[in-house]
Amino acid sequence: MATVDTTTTYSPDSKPVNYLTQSHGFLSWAMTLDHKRIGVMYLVATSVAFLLGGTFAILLRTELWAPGHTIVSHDTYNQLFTLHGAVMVFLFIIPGIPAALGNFMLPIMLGAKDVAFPRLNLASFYFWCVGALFFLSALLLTGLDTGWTFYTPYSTTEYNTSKDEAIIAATMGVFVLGFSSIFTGLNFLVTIHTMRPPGMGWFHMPLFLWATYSTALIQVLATPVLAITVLLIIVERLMGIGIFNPVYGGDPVLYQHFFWFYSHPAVYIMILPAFGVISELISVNCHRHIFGYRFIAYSSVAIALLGFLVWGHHMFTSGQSKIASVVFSAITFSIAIPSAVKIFNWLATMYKASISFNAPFLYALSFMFLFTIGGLTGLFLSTLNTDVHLHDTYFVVAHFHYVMVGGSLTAFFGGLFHWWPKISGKMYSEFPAKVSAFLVFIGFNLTFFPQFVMGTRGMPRRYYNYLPEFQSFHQWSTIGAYVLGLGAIVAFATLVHSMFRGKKAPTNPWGGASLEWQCPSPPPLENFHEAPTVGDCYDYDRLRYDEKTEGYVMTK
Amino acid sequence: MTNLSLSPILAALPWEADYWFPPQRSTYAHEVDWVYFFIGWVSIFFFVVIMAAMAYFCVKYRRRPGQPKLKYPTHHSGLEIAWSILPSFLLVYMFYAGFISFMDMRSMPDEAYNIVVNGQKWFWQFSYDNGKIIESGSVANDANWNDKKSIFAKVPRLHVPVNTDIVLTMNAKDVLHSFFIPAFRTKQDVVPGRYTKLWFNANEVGVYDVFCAEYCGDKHSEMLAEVVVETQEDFDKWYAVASDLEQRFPDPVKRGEYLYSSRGCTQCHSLDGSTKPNGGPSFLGWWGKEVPVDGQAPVKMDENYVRESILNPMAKVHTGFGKIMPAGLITKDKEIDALITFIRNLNQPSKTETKK
Ligand code: HEC
Ligand SMILES: [Cu+2]
Ligand SMILES: [Cu+2]
Repeated sequence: MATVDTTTTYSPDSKPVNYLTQSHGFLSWAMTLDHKRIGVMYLVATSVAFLLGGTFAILLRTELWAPGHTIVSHDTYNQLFTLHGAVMVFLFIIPGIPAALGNFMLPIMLGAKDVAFPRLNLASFYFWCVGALFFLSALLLTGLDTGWTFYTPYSTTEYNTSKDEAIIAATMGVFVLGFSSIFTGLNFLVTIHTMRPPGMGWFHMPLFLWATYSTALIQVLATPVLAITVLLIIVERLMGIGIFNPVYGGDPVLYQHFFWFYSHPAVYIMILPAFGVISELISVNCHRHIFGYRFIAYSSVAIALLGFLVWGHHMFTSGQSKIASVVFSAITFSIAIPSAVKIFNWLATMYKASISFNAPFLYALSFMFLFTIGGLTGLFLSTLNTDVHLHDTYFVVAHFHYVMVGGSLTAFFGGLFHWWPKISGKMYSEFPAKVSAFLVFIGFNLTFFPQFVMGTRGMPRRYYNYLPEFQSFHQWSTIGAYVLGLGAIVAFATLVHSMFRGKKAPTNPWGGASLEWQCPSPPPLENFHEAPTVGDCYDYDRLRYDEKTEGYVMTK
Repeated sequence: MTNLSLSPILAALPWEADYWFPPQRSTYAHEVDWVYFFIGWVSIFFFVVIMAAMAYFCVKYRRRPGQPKLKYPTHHSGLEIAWSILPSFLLVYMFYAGFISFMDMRSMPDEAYNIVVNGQKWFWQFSYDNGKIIESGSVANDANWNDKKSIFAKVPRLHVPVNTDIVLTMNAKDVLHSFFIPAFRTKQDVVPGRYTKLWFNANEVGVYDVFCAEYCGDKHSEMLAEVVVETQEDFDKWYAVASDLEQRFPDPVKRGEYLYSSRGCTQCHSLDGSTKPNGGPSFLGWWGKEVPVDGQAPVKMDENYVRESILNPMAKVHTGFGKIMPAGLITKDKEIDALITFIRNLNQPSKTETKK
């Protein structure tokens, strides 16, 4: 029987002790093995990366205000889009949800004290930091201008302006970050396999865990390929051994195969955790059992596995063989199904529900809108003949931002607001949080929708100068980027404000039924004072709203 | 090409306006467009249905105080299987339609007019009949980007006859590039170390933009060109004039100047004594002087040195410059002679006699 009254504590001097107040000082954080503190450190670190990548984006969009030179030079522009992509992908989106929110929530959702390998978990964070330092040094050495894709032979020859050190620093960064990602993935896999509490079978886990599990699977299987690929780049660049560069007898298209063999599955590292978050946000705020649990769980695994077989859809115009393109196109279509299944199931979860419209739910709605567009526009790119026209145009840029930003970023914000009371022990103010959701939604669409039209009309991506006929689209897009940036700032400001001024959070502010809503907010070091009872994590009928604590309590 | 084409129906719909696409100017462009609009309409249909349901549920099932809980289903296998399987039929059709037209775009016609395309940083070069005509150039450094005329003033022109199958055999000298003609709905990466091919059949006379679509460094966005589609007659006329440089430019200085600006030398060599960033020495200032050379004794810049520098740039590398000058830009003796005359004349205008 879980205790209802978990907000009070059991410490002898009766001051509330939680993971935040447990111990003090820099070292108590830097050397911590507590998954919650590591999660919080990841959260801070990835948020900083997000703000950095966002700043690059704002500069890029400003440069594109006018067709010719606006604020920066050719070379600076190329460095900006390289850093924007690299920072956002490797430092923010990939670790964002799994390593920050996942680290915090995964053990608690399992009713466990910590992950299976706490030390590995801390190591993974420090690997992230080292990788990030390499990236930043590439920034300081100035000159990394290869795009986040590091396509050869551009990245391995001296033809470009990048200095050797910049390329090596950046690729080493990717290499080290890869380890960070593998460690986290491995840890999660083992934790989910071995630490589920009695009574929680595979199909009793919250869907967020299914999503994290599938993500971890990809992290462990795909990341080594990326690591090897970037090592090969360094080898070729330093020793002139021919792998990708035809001058030494290599093959540039081979690089693209290696790169996308990782980077397409990586797309699902970025979006699967978001699916998990959305499943939680929707069912909790609908106060209604998730619809089609098994289909959603299976679809995560299906996406993770199919994701390994479609990398060639990035290469329809690369010079790969016709037949290869045809096969990749066909398999790519099959991945559309599990993604669509999720949307339909979330929709069905809203049927006959009882919906609370708090900020996390608004983010979830925004996700449904944006991800649906992101997914549907993927069809234009998996179809062979339309992709030949659209490939490497702004259509592609718009498509993947609808998935990565409209999908992952909105889910990240939604999840952050949703779990914030648990993480910080404070309630954020609802109004500015809703404003942020609204600004992000409007700003996002304004930024990226015009890019679909532009791309269809033939505007290629990564262009510093462009033809005057595209200017009005670019200007809408730039204005949208400012609004989006403002929305993100409002979101972060709301959270920071709540740390100082927020009301104390109850154990269960939204009425969630999974285990994280049964431990105090914020949780004590050991998460649960007594082992919690495992019930159906989507059965909200056993909850009742309690006026006194302004939260929900279990009735049975 | 496909019999299952929905294009007539789609063409009747108001959405297929010029708003979305550049003009449709190749034989396979309409295939791309109708598949695009087909996917577009399917997407709009699903999007509207999903959003409408979402909005409806949001209003209908919003939380109200005192409202009793509704009985709801937690799963429904039939429904879930249905919505997994039924849309697949549409997906299969999309795949099929794209596949048929892709095979058409990517299977080279047997008899076609061949043109060789070279991509290098940062200009395109079109070569007809083994270099009988070479067209190249790029956007001028001082182009006004608000004015399309000015942007395209110096770009190379790919002249092709209308209603003729054209095959481009493409190769890159340095890094990846990609040849993209939006009006023809086609693009193909241009790869160093291998040949890639692209074909089209332009169905209307006109001038169409060409972009480089694969990031290739600083001036990626300046790697533009134009396709000039003209009647067979006009094409033949152009060909006759263009292939006869001596007739076109009887004055060797003028001929040399044309070669200088059409073969890509402008990218790296200035005519005013200044050094271009990541470029080579200016053509003004060194003539007749001793040129310092990496690892060898200095050489005097004269006819022989220029000739060797063009034919085999790596033989003597001017100290302080990179080994970046491509070989094979100009190979014919007469052309090299003209270029030498041009450079000499630039430095010593009085001593060169010019044929008037
Ligand atoms: C990608 C840049 C590039 C292009 C394009 C280029 N060059 Fe060069 N060129 C160089 C560089 C760098 C050097 C100096 C290093 C060397 O000698 O190879 C050079 C040297 C020369 C020299 C010797 C001049 C000297 O002072 O040593 C001549 C002559 C020359 N180029 C002619 C041409 C002609 C003619 C063209 C056009 C058909 C051309 N180049 C195109 C980069 C280029
Ligand atoms: Cu992909
Ligand atoms: Cu390019």
